[in-house]
Amino acid sequence: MKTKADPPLTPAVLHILLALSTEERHGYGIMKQVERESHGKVKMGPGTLYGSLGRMMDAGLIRESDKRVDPAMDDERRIYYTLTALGRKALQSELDRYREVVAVATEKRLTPNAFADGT
Amino acid sequence: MAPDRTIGRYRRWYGRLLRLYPRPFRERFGEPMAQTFSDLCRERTDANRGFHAFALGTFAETTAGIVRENVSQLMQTRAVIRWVLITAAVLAVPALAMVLNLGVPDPGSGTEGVNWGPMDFAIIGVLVLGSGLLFEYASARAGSFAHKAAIGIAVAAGLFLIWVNLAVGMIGDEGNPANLMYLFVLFVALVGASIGRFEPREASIAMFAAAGAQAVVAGIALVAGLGPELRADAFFVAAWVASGLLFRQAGIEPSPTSNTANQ
Repeated sequence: MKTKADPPLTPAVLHILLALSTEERHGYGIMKQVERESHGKVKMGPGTLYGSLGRMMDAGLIRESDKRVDPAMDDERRIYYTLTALGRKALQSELDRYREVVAVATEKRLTPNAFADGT
Repeated sequence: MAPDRTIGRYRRWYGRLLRLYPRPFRERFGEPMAQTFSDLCRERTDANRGFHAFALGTFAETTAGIVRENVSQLMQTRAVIRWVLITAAVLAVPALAMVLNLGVPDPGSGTEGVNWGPMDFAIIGVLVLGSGLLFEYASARAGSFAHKAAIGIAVAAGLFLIWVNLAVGMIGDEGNPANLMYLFVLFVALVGASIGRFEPREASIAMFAAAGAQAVVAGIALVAGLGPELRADAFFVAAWVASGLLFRQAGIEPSPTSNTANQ
């Protein structure tokens, strides 16, 4: 049993960690990946994205990888961001927390439509 | 589809907006943010949908980020604690005077003693704390003593101008609506200096303009026979001019921050 749990992540941080979990991305790439993975429900503006990136870098969850050209876009060099070991651990802890919540809900037979009748 | 000229204009405005971020944040993320904005512009124009609404929405979202980062930076410093303590000390004076029943005779109203209500404490508290934080925000970029002194005098002049008008009024008494003309002076000083981001040259022009505005308001009150307190007006004109001169001096002096800011 864990004695001290990691604090829950904010939605923006969780989405950014998820977007970076498969590959390094630059700012615009992160925005688009978050939009894709949330089926368009989460749209981050530059203010939210870079504010979160700054805090995540300060917390050691991500780091700048390098500055290079994205062949799919143009010839401008972009800063890429990547997860650190701490970032991967934080994402893992958060996903474990979500899995536990889903397990409890399943145990209670709470389906997505369980409260549809308003009771 | 938005024409290239329109997109270029929005990019320039966005670049200017990014200058309002705290310097460390701007140096770290200013370029990638401008690049991301360009990517979003390209995406919108390629999709040929709602470019102006998108641009305004992004400006609003980034403005919220600017406020958040500035507040966050301010909260990380000891400035907030320092100014909360200063505000508490200022408010403690009338509070103690009320508790100890000490008073200053006021021949005008015939009353004696300090009798502040909760609203008086709230207004003065907000004024002092707000002025202190404004000073900290503006002087964070100041590289020389003259620059900081100029900001300090300007903020103090603004604070006292509001205070005097609320307490006794520069024209007649505090209830005289003619005192609202002094809001014009504050508007000139604050908006002028803010547009120039408290940079010495721009702020010095704003301070001289505020001195002029103060003199104009006093002149209007004099001509209209409203009985302005000309000595007080002269004091404030002198304060705005002193601030303007110090800003100008700061613009002449080489400062380490002004050198790095342009790199």
